[in-house]
Amino acid sequence: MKKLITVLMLATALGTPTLAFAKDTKLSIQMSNYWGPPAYLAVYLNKPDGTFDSTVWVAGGQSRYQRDLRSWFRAASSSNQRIDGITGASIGGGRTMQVDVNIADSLIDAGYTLHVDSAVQDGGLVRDDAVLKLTQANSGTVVAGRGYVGALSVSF
Amino acid sequence: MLRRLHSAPGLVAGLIVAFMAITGSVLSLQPVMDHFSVRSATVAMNVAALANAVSTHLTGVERIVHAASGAVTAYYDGGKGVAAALIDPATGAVLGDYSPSPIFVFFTELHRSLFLGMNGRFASGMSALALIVLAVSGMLLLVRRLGGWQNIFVTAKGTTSQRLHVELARIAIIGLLVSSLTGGYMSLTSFGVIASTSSVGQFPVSVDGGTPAPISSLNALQAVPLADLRELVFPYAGDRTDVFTLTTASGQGYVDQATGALLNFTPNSVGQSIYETLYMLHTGQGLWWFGALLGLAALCVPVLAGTGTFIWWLRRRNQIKVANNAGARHADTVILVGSEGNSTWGFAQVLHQALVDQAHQVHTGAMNDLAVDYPAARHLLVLAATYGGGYGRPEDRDHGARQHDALNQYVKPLRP
Repeated sequence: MKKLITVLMLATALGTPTLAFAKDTKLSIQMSNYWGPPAYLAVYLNKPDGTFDSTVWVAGGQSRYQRDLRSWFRAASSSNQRIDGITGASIGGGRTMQVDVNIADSLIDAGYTLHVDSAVQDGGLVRDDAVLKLTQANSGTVVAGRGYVGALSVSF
Repeated sequence: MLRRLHSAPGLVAGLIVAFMAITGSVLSLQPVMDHFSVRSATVAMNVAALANAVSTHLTGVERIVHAASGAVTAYYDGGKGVAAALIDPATGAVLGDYSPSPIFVFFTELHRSLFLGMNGRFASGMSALALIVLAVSGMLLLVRRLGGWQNIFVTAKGTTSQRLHVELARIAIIGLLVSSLTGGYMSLTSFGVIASTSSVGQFPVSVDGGTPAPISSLNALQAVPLADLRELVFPYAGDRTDVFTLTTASGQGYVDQATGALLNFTPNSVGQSIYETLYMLHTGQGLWWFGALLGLAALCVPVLAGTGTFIWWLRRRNQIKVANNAGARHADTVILVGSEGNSTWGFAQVLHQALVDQAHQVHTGAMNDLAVDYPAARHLLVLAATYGGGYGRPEDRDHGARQHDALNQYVKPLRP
């Protein structure tokens, strides 16, 4: 009996990680010093074939501005994924955003990419403002954005 | 009660309300300046022709925005990120670089969020609420002071600060009510209390995907005159599955870049039409002279806050303290005072002292603080005076019936 419990516990301990979400996945975005109102951001994952997989985080809560994040909005609106729990405030120029996000461990080193789209009122709409390959080696690596995002990093 | 409803928010929120008013009146200059600087279209162009002209002049056009002022702006790939150009609405030619005025960008953000994110937006919304309360309570106080709605335009009496307060308020009240009510509505919308104001059409699931046709040939864009255009977002270059996103005065939809067909057009909801009207009234964008009037009305707010605080402070400072005031339960003589400007308290004080000198136990109190019972009272004196336009004190008249009944209870047992 005791042996059985030990085996079960061991199995559980070994079995869980394949199902679990990455512990403490931290998303960090430093905005560039642009002049204007706070930016809306969509952070999302693309599959290895380049098609949309899932939304990771949305900065900015109003749907009529979220639709300006067009390539994300287009893919996300047909995926029917709810973004209730993964939406935060829009971010102003020079500010830093740090949030805990859920990225399944199974997606790391599996060819997935993390994308950030950005949009600013009376400004630009930037697709793929920053892009990061989702690899273990890239954990904590800082990549520069090309629009309103100054720097992006994810730590698994 | 009404006076407290006016003075409490005035004292607590006076500074922030004045701040919002000043920043708001600065912002009201924007549509005025736009009105006198924007070149308006003399020839009616359709959106297809305009978009075509713009994309021949600029590379990598992202979107074309038609502002309420009539200004047309194009955002395009400027090499190092997004650049913007001012477009001649008559020809589609580039008039020059466009960058939003840093002053107005700064004041817009200051006005709506004080650069404090959602907390700032909350503060901004609360100051709109405070202004609504101040305007309504102030208006009712004014009506009482002048002796009724029929006297609403009668010259006010009083000290300089009182007259300044009343006269400015009377001029500004409608503007302030419009600003605060529309601002409050916009705030509720941004907090999602009032449901989403925008009808967002679903992205079309199927598009033609064929070779993009020349922009000038797209039917759905040809059908829209420039006057109706709000915004046209171009498809991403090289992405044949992408579409034009078209926002007009009446709704939002998509245009297939190969066939020119209008897809998934969603007309504006009633909620959005209301929002847009209120937005226009609040900002003056599209109604510049009205915005200018609101801006002028808002300029009165700092003066109203200053004079209001001064009046409150004077009233407090001049409050008369009655010496040797007996407790209500022990007094054989009770003096009840109804006073608006404290003058009646002066008479009460003299009377009180004279009665005390005659060895009476005298209790003097405000009429509003009428006790339930004065068990030892043999005399009850009520001191009141006319106020404003020569009428009795508003509170006393309003609560007259109630207090009359209440006083009767005490008066009867005093009779032999």
